[in-house]
Amino acid sequence: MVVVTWLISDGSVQPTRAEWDRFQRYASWMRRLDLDSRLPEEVLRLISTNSPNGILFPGLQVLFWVFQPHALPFYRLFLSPHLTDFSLYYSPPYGGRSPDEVLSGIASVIVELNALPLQSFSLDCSPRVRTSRSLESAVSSAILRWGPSLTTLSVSLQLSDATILHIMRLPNLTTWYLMNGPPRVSDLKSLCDDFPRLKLLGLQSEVSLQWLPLFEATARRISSRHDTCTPSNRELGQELTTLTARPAVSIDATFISPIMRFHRLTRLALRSSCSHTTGCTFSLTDDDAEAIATALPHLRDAAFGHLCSANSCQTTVSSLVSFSTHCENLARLQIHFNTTNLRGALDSISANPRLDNFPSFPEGGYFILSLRDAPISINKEDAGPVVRGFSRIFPRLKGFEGGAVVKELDNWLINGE
Amino acid sequence: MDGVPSYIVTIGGSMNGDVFPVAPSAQAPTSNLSCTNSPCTMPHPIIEISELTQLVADHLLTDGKQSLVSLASTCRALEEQALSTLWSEQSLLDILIICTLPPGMSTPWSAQWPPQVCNGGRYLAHF
Repeated sequence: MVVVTWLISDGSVQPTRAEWDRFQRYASWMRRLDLDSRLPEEVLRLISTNSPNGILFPGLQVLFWVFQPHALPFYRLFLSPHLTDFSLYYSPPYGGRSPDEVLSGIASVIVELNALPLQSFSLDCSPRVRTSRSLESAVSSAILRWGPSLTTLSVSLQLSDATILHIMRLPNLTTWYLMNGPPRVSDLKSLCDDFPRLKLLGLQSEVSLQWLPLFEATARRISSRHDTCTPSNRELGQELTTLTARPAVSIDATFISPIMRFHRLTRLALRSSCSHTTGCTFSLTDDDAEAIATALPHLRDAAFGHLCSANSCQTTVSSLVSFSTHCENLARLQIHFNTTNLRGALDSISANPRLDNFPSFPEGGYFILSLRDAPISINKEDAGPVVRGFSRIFPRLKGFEGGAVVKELDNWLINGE
Repeated sequence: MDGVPSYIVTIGGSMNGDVFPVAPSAQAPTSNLSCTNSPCTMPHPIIEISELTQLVADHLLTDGKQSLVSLASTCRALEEQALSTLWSEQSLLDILIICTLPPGMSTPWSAQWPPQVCNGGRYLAHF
């Protein structure tokens, strides 16, 4: 850093006009920029001074920006009229500026995007970033200006109800990460009128989980013919392949029920909120697991939260059998199950005739079982039988996720000892 | 060069890294695909069809970026297309600075990079 600053301020290294021309010629070819702004402010200033038309990357289509406050005065260098994908991630510190100043600066960047035909927009602020009315307002305004071109939207801010209603009517939106719950408007009794045909839905806050019961209520109204839906929404949520929920939740049959309507899900990522103080918030049973696995046969990656260190859950190794036998493409599973007398439970389940009728798996298939935080203590002589038991349930088992015990099991799985 | 149409391979008669000096003032186009005179003074007019050269560059990109570096080194008439396609895949501002501006403009950590990362600012050898 010191060397660079000295060289520039000293003037001993000043690019020639031909070198700047070459710099700009090459920059004009770039279509994607991953900008982490580690460049010193002096370098950015020099580049800015030597970019006469103010835009350094005229052909840029994709900008991924890990925002740092010192780059704020130079943001126009990185905006191109051809930009279609814009992602900005921001986390403090504020670089000697006030939080309001930085967030207002980000807002002014967003305002500049208003006129662009964006297909993908992502604004991810760290949870440590204070909320900012000016930023929320700028993002809401920008989204209201974007139309059918938008296919991907990820915003870690609360947006206005009008903005959410606008988003719900975007016809080509397929990926939506959101913090908001359903809009608080009196006539929104269901999602029948408009809702995009999403493939990915990311629920990023507790309030956003309220979309799930609304999906279920709408589905019930449709099936009981109380709602006259637009044809595209008669099968609401049927194209969803990925559902993620960031906040830790109590995972029980009521919570899972709406999710079981998304029959094409291939990825489900949930987090339970188990702790020593609050106890286990995972209360599914083996019957629930069987119902889930039956309803979601296309699952490839299913996570129902880390296993609790307290062995208080009702699910047993039988729940693993449900997933292994119903979900033929399953490649990763994380689910609570009682690990008391694990060897005995696995020995017993190995006799289950359901495990004799596996389909022929495709070449190269694999399966990883997550045992993260699982309360498992295994004697050396039990490791082999336990691994064989898991392999009996999951014939494509290639490894375990987790801690020290898992290493022991992995060793057995790979080396047979 | 497996999979490259044969008419491409015959342009200039070489794809092995030779750089063809191309006169800036073009003479009348020749009808020969192969440029056998030395030095070659004229690119075949087919090279001026940007849609076609773009297809060539796109094809080479699927082959690996080093193939585009070779193409840029082989024929000046194709250099622009090859470099633009190569750089359309480049996404780091640091590398742009390192490859096109004097060393003093480089970022603090770039001093640790080997000098052969860039070759005369024309392309990225590490592709």
